Amino acid sequence: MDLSKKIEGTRQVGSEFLTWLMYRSISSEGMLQTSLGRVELWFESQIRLVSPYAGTEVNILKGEAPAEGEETAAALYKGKHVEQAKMSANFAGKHWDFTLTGPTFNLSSVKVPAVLAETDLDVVLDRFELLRTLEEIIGSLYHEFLELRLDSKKWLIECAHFEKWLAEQPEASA
Amino acid sequence: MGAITGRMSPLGFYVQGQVEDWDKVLDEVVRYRFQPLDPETGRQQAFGWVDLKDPFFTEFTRAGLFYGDAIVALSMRVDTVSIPSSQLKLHLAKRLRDLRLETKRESIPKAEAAQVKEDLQAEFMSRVVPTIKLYEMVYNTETGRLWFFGKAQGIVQTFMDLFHETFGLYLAPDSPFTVARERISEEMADSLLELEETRFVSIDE
Repeated sequence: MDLSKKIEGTRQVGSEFLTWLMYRSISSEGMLQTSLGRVELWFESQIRLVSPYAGTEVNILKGEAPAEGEETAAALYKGKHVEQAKMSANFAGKHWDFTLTGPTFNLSSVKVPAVLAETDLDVVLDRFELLRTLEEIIGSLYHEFLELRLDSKKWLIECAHFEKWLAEQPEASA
Repeated sequence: MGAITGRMSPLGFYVQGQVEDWDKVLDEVVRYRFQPLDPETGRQQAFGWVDLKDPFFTEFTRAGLFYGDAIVALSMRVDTVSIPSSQLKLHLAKRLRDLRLETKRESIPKAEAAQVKEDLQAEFMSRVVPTIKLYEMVYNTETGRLWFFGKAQGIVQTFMDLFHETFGLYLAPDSPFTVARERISEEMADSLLELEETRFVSIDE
């Protein structure tokens, strides 16, 4: 199978990852362990949930922490996955804002921590080092997700935890 | 300008392989440097490499390609001239009518009309200032990671082709599959293809 078919055939894994990451972030009060150390990671002012079975069923939820709202819980109950989310990360005293799209694994609108370098050379080097750090944070969390996702027993247990967490959310099953 | 200032919206790629001969790459960067549109050719678009920060600078040197020891940064410049077809049509009709009157002919043969159209297009193109668009590329040659600051499908394909012609290497775009392949292994990433969609919440029938 050529690469483009493999890419197209696994797009949904990105949405599963974002859905799992939202659960992990909320249930651990934003504190997550990564290969770089402990990172604070939050889902911010906008998330987009899509039904994997009917792509036209889309919820775009905005506001203050919509991930923790009733509408998100209700959408998850309907089997929707998080396709895109605005997020933030704090690590080593630095702060990033960004949007992550699951099916493409693209980062966009990335606001890296301010760079105080004086030369263009240093600005480029510093900004891309900061981008690389953010990618490592996301990549490390994706690695953890993959280890669970590719082990059917562990994944079943993780999904059970997810469901238990969801049941505890306000009005989730209403 | 996402690479140097402001928010960044890069497309991430994994470069497949490594550059073996940087002198050859420099020759190719020079070969594929941006060259302005020539109205005589009738082409409406031109693209090529320019300096990361100066879209009019194409005097490349090996040292000039590198930012630090490992980062290669360039911009892909795309110039486009667009002539509104409705305007071209009006002027072409007038020119053909004038030609008929001038040469006292009933009609102008197809081939001659096509030449008139081509000449008119070239004339218009020489009067129009091209629209310049710049798309930055930053390539970490140590890690094989590359970021491109353009999103439109056509532009991304043009960039991937230009990169391949210049550096002799293919690019694999970020996706759940390619990132998994980098983070774990090709074999494990392949097994993602076998997975059924997760339903995080069980359905009570």
